[in-house]
Amino acid sequence: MLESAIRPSRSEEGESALHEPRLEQIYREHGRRLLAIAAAIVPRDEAVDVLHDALLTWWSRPRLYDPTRGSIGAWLAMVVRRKALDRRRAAQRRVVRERRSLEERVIDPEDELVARDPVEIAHLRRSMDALPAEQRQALQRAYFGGETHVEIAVALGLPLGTVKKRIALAMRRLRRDLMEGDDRASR
Amino acid sequence: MHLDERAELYALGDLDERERRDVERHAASCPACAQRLAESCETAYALSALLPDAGEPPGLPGQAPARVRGTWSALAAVAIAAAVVLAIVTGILLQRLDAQRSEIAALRAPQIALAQGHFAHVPLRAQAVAAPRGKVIYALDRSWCYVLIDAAGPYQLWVRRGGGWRDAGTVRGNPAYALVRGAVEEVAVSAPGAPQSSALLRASLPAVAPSGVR
Repeated sequence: MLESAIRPSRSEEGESALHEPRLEQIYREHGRRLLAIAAAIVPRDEAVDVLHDALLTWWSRPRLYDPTRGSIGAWLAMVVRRKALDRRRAAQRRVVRERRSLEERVIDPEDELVARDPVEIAHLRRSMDALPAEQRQALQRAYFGGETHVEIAVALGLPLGTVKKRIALAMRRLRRDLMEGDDRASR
Repeated sequence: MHLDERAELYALGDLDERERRDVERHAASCPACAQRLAESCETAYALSALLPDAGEPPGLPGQAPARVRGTWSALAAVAIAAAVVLAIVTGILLQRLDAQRSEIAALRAPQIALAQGHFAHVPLRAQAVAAPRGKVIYALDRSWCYVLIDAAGPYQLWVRRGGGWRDAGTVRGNPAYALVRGAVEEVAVSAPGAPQSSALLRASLPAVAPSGVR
């Protein structure tokens, strides 16, 4: 019972021993990006808790992650965003911090971004710039501003359904753009 | 009916619990939607490249001190994993521990130690036939220790620092947990109300990790 509760000695549980080095590897490979994702939604100290919470979610119940649904990083990113948004909603407050304009955050070359690959950054920026303005605005507020759909709807004076539709359409266009880019690169 | 915009909204983590479960249930039986869901999640993750850097999260394995590597690597991996758990349960501890006890505190020490990477585990030795199992995970820098008892609380926790035993409060929960802040040389666990001398469990916390620890 003790082991199942805390799992410091999971090597006694056979296959679960595999998860300890995997946890370390995931933390090393994805931790920085996952922290940036959470920090866009909640203050950084809470973002660290969110990151640990997401990793613990996987570590304690690895079967929650289905490899057919994408990479472990992408799945954890979804979990991190969900948990961070839950915290934000639960706190029922806006994040108190100075924000530069969302447009500036995306395009300002002075920003120190979590990514280091200029090709990757340029590709993403082109894809964002190609979005219709209202879709880009909604997605920027949701993803880079860390706002919930409800917050965006209130801020823009739009119906909630409209906000969701715009965000979904933006994501769909980006998905097609990025996936086509991957296809071209692999040809 | 296939997933609509919920596939994209799922990837962004902003569906309510019921919608999320509906999406997952559908994707489990629809390869096309599962693929769309996967690509949406990859897209959402790819966008993180444009986020402002928030720095490295504390306790990245690569930040561990050199002496944690090598023969310590296995311990470090376990300790990191354990410390992740500890960081998460901190919130639970807040509710469980007697806030008036200065000896016990729910705090961010596990995260601090996570960055430092100096951990050891020692079993709590049974002092009676009916004693439960237990163990102590502690930071070698003596900043905290974590007492775990494989049974439902409450138990009375005692700690020894600098020669004297102190009542460190009540350990609650099922299993019972307690986080103790500060330097501790020895830990004892007794039944509620029982003295330290009749402890059910004991453990010494050596400054150098005992051999055989994980």
